[in-house]
Amino acid sequence: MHKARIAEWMLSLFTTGDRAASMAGDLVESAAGRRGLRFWWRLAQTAASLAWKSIAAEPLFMMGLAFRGLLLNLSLWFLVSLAMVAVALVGIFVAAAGGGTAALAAIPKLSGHKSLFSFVFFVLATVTGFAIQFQTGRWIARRARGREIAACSVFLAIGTILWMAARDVTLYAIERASRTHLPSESVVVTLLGNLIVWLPLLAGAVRVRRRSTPKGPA
Amino acid sequence: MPDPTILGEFEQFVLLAILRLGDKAYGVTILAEITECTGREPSPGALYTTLDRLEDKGLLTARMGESTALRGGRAKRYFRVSGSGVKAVAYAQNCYQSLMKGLELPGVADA
Repeated sequence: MHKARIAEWMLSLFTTGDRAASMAGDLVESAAGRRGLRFWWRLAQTAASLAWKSIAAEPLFMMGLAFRGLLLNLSLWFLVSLAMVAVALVGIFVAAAGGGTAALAAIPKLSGHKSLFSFVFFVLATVTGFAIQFQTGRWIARRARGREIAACSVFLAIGTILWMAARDVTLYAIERASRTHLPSESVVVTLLGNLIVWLPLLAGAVRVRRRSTPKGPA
Repeated sequence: MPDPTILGEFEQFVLLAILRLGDKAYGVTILAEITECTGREPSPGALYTTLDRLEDKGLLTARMGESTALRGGRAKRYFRVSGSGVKAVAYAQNCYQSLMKGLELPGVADA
């Protein structure tokens, strides 16, 4: 029964194995003979309650860990950005040394959306970004044993709020400086975009959780 | 003698439901009992976090039971109210009774 397996897997991210199994069994038994989304809705409610219990038990620790995680995340992004700029500068230097002014003149053409250069750059940036998020998730999870996913959820909540605030402030500053009105992005689109970016972070936390076997109540 | 543990309203519901159910108290039956007696269906998440909390406080004990095909082969987790759990719920009910004494509330027979 795949429903029970999914529920047990999901709940075991928040509590001990035997508790997760019995909760999954209860949810399956309650939903027997009923159609619709009731089972999944109750599963989501249960997972959210278990995560909230972990956060509410030590809110200051969770907040502190989330901010430290953000600092690490931003530092990694900064270092990677520096490395990318350095690689680009080296590329330009090599092109200029090898092909002279003709090669330099070709660079603007390479930066077009459909060029191979932009495709490779996009792939590299995406893979690097996912790696950074994954490592951040692992880093947070290792410091919150037994509460890995709850700690990452706090990070995601704070990170999303700060990201949206920073974006709005930047857009406002650009609008004021340029005296133009920029098209605004809907909150739903922003949240969905953030979710995709944060998925590797949760994957990192899940990996740590899977490798550790909680011995007491989570 | 140490003061009995102070219980919240939902904690009392859970303990009383388990006492009523006796040996048949596990997640599904506890939820059904609370819903039947109070007319309010609690979320399973609220129930499980409360059960964990009561167990951590030593007011409940749990044991793993049998698994059935209806449950996807997952075992039931049966709960039993401990001695200190009975004392805590009795203390809470006595407090209610004392506060109710002398009051005449419409629809409450024992006030």
